[in-house]
Amino acid sequence: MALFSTQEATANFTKTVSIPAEPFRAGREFKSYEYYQLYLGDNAIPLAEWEGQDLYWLRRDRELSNHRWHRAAHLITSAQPSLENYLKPFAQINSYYKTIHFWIKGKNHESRWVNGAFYLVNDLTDAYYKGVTFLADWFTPTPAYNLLQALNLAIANYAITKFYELLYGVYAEVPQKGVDAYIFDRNFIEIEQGQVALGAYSTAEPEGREVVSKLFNDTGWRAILKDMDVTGIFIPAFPELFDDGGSDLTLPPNYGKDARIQIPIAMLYCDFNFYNDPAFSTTKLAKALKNGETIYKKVGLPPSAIIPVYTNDVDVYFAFLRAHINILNVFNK
Amino acid sequence: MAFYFFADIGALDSQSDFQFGPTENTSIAGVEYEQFLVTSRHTGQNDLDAVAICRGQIIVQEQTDNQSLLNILLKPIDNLPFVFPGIKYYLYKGIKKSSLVASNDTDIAQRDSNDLINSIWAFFDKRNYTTNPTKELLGLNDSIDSLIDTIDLDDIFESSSLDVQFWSVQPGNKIGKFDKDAIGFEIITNSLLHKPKLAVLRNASTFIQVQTLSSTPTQKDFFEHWHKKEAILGFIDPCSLFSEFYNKEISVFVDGVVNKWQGDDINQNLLLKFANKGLCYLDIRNEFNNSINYLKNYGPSSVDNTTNIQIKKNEELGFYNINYYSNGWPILVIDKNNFNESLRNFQSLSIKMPCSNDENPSPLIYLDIASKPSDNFPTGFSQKEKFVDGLITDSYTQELEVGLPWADDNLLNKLTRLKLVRKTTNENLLPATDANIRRMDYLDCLFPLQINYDFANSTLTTKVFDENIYLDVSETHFFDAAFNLGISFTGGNVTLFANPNIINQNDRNKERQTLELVGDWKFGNETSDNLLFNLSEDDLSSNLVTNVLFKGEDELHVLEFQTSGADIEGQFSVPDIRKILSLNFTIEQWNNIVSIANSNFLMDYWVFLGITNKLVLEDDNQVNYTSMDIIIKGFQVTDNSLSVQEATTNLTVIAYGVV
Repeated sequence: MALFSTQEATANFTKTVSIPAEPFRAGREFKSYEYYQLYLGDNAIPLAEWEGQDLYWLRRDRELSNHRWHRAAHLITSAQPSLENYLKPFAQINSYYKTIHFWIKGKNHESRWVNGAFYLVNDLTDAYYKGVTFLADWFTPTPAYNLLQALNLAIANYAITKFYELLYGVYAEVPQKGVDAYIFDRNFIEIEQGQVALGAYSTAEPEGREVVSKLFNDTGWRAILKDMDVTGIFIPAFPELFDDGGSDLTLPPNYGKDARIQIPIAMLYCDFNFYNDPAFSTTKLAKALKNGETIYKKVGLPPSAIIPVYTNDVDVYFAFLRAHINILNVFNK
Repeated sequence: MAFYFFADIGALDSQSDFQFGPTENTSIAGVEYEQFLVTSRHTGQNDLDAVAICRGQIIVQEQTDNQSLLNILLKPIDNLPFVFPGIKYYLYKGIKKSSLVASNDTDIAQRDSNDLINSIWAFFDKRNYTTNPTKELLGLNDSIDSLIDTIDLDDIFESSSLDVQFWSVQPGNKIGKFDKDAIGFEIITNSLLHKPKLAVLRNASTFIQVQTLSSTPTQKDFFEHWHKKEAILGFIDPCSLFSEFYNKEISVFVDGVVNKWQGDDINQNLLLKFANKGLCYLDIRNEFNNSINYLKNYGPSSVDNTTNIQIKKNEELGFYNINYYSNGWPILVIDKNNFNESLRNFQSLSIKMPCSNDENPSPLIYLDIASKPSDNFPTGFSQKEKFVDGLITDSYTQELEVGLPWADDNLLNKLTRLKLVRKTTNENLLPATDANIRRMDYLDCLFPLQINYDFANSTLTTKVFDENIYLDVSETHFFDAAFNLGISFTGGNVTLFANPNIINQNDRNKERQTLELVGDWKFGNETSDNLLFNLSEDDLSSNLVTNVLFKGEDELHVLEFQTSGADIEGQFSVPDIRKILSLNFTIEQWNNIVSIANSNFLMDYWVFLGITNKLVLEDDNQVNYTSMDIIIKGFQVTDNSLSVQEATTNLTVIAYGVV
C-alpha cells in the first residue's frame, strides 16, 4: 500500500496505534527486487515470472501476504524431506503461522496449535521489535534473546513437519476434528515442548534461562504484561500448580517440562478435553481448572480475578479462559 | 427498481431538429461561435407530464429568459441497471410554472396538480400545518435565487449554509407539466473537470459555445479552443440512455397509462422520438479522461487536431481512416452505413488507435463502457476483459473489436467509451513538453486540484468520484486497475485517495474483492476520525497503524495498513483495503496547496498534484520508507503560449516500505 503523509498529518491520526517498525531480517527475504537481483545475479527470475518458485520473496510480499509469499510458504511446507531454517525469527515465522492457519482451516481441520503459536510469537515479536523498553535491557545483546530465537526456530522446524501431515501428508484428506484434533495437538505439544524445546533449554546459557524464566513467571511482569494484552501467554505460569515445581525453566533436567506441556494444552482446550483427558485429569492444574469452572459457573467472577494472581481456582480458570478466548480469536482481526 | 421515461410519451412529437449534437454557428457581439446543443429539445401535441426517471431530490428554478417556465433538476439516488457513465443530474426544462406554483406566486400549486405537489400537500396535511406550503420548498427561494449563474450546482446541494431542504421524488412521480413548445431534457454526468454551474438550471437549452478559430491560430488559441469543446463530455445524449433499456425494462407513461417497455417497443416507439435514433457514439479518452488527443500527443502537431483512428465496419471494406474530431467536436459519431445489414442482434466495430513508441510505448486500452460482439445481443465485458494490451504495429494499437447493438436493420444508440492509457514501461521517456502532461510515477498527476470542494460550507466530509482512472502500479504493488478518486476532510486532515475499483487480474487465485467506495457521505455527525482509520475499523483484514522509524535522534512516523489476523490472498469475500493509495495533508497544508494552485495556474484546466525527488530510504534498523516532495503541475500562459509548468509546495510526504 502507499499511504503517503506529511509528518504533521500523520500526527493527526491520534487513534492509530504507534509501533516501532519491524527491523529487517534477511534470510530468504529481500527488501526489493533489486536486492534479489543483486544477490542471485543470473539466477534471478524476471519479476513478471517470479512467483516464489525459488523460495525467495520480498518483505513486502510477506507483509501483504500475497501470492509470492504464499508460493514460497507452500513449497517450504510441502517439501520432503522437510526444509529447515528457511524462516527467520520472529516476524517471518509469525507470518508463516498466520498463512498456515488459513490453509489448515481450509482443509477443515480443527487443530488449534497454530493459533497458540501465532499468539506466542506475535507477543515475542511485539515485545522484542516494538519497543517494550523494559525488555531491551534483557534482550540486547542477550543470552535470553538467543534462547528465544533458538526456541522459535527449532519449534518452527518441527511445526513444518506437522503442518505437512495436515496439509499434504497423512491427514491431507482426513480432517482432524474434535477429539482427533485435540489428540493431534496434544501429541504435537508433547514433542514440541518435551523434546524440541527441551533441547533448546538444555543447551542455552544459564543466564538466558534465568531471564526467560523470569519473563514467564514473574508476578510483577504478569501485571505489566496484562496491560499490554499479552497476558494470555505469560500469566498462567502458576508454579504452585505443578507437582515438580514444573514451571521453573532453570531447573534441569526437565526445565519446567510439565508446565510447558500442560499450560498450552490447557489454554487451547480449556473449554473441553484438558481436564477430562486421563493423561492430565489428576494433575493439580486440571483439578484447579475443573473446580474453578464449577465455582465460576455458580457464583461468577471473584474480584481478585481482575488481576490474575493465583489466589483461588476461579482465578486460575478465568485466566486460562481469557487466554483461551484470546488465542482462538487471534485471527479474527 | 423501476426507471421511467422522462415524459408522458403519448403527446410527444418525433424530434426533427434540436437534437443533442453540433448545431449551426452563432454570432454573439460580432464574434462567431461554434455550438453543440447538449439539451435534447422536443415538442408535444399538447402540454405533457414530466415524469421522475428514478428516486432523487429536486431543485426548481425559473428560466432566466421566460419566468413563466421552470426547470427542474433531479439528483438521482438510484443507479442505472446497466454499465453507463455515472449520472449526476437529470434536468427537465420548460415546465409550466402554473403546474408547480400558485397564481399568488408564493404558494405551491393547488392539490392534485401532480404527484410532486400532492406529496408536499400530504406532508402538510399529515402534520396539520395551518399555513400553505410555499414554492420555497421547491427551491424557489431567495437564498438560491440570489446565487450567481457561475456557482457550482454541487455546492447548492451540499451547502450547509443555504438552509434549504430538497424535496424527494419517487420513480414515476409526475413532477410538473411540460410546455408543449419548450420541452428540454438534459443529462449531466459525474466529472471532475466539468462541474455543472447553476446557469444550466436557468436556461432553456444548454449550448456549449466555442469561439471559431482563425485560419492561423496560435498554439494557445488552438489548445484553448479544443479544451473548451471538451465540456460536451460532461453531458450524455438522452437517446443513448434510453436505448440501453432495449435489453432491460423501462416504465413509460402513454397518455397517462403506464406501460412496461423493452425490446421492440424501445426501438420502434421510444427511440422514434429522438432524431439521433440509429447513431452510436465512440468516446475515446486519454489517461486523464480527456478526449484522445486533448494533449496533442497523438496527432500531427500542436495546431492540428487531425487524429486518424482506423475503424472497420465489415471485412470487405476493411480498415479505413477516420478523423476522430471530424465533426468538429471531441466525440465520434458512428452511423449504420457500411455495416452488414444481414446480421442480427449486433454489428462488430473494429478499432485501431494511433500510438507511437515515443509517446506511449506500452499502451493499454481500457474498455470503460463497451459491449462484446456476440451472436446474441451484445453484453458487457467482464472485469478482466476490460483491460486489453495495445501492442503497437505500424504506429497503431492492435485491432480491438466491440459490439454495437443492432435491431430492425439499424443501430441502437450505443455509447462506447474506451480509454487509451499507459502501462508502466522500462523505456526512459522524457518528461512531456509544452502543453502535454505525462505521469512520471503512479502518484504523479493522479490527484487533480479540481477534486477539492468547499468543505467549510459543505454537509459532506467525503466524496468519491466514479470516473475510472487507469493506473499501473505493478512495479511496486503488483497490479494494475481502474481506480476511483476521492477526497476526505476528516480527522483534521485532507486525505486524497485512489481506490481500485476494477482490478486487472487473470489469475483467479490472486483475485480480491474490491472495496466499495463511491458516492458522497459523512461519517456520523462528526469528523474526528480520519477516513483511513474508519475504513480499517470496518475492515476485517488490516489495522491502520503508525510505524515509528528511527533516524539517529529523530523519529519518523509512517502509516500502514498492517495485516493482522485475516489472510486475504485468494479470499475473494474479503475486501482488500491495502490496495488503496493515498496522500495525507493537514487541512492547513491543503489550503496552502490550493492557494498556490489558484495563484499560479489556470483552474479551468487540469491542475495536478505532482511528485518529485522520490527516494527509497532506510532508517537505522534497515526499515525502508519512501519519501517524495509534493509539487503542483498545471497550465500557464506565457508569451501567447500555453504550457504545463510546476510550482513547489515545500511539502514532503513519506510512506512505509518501497512504494
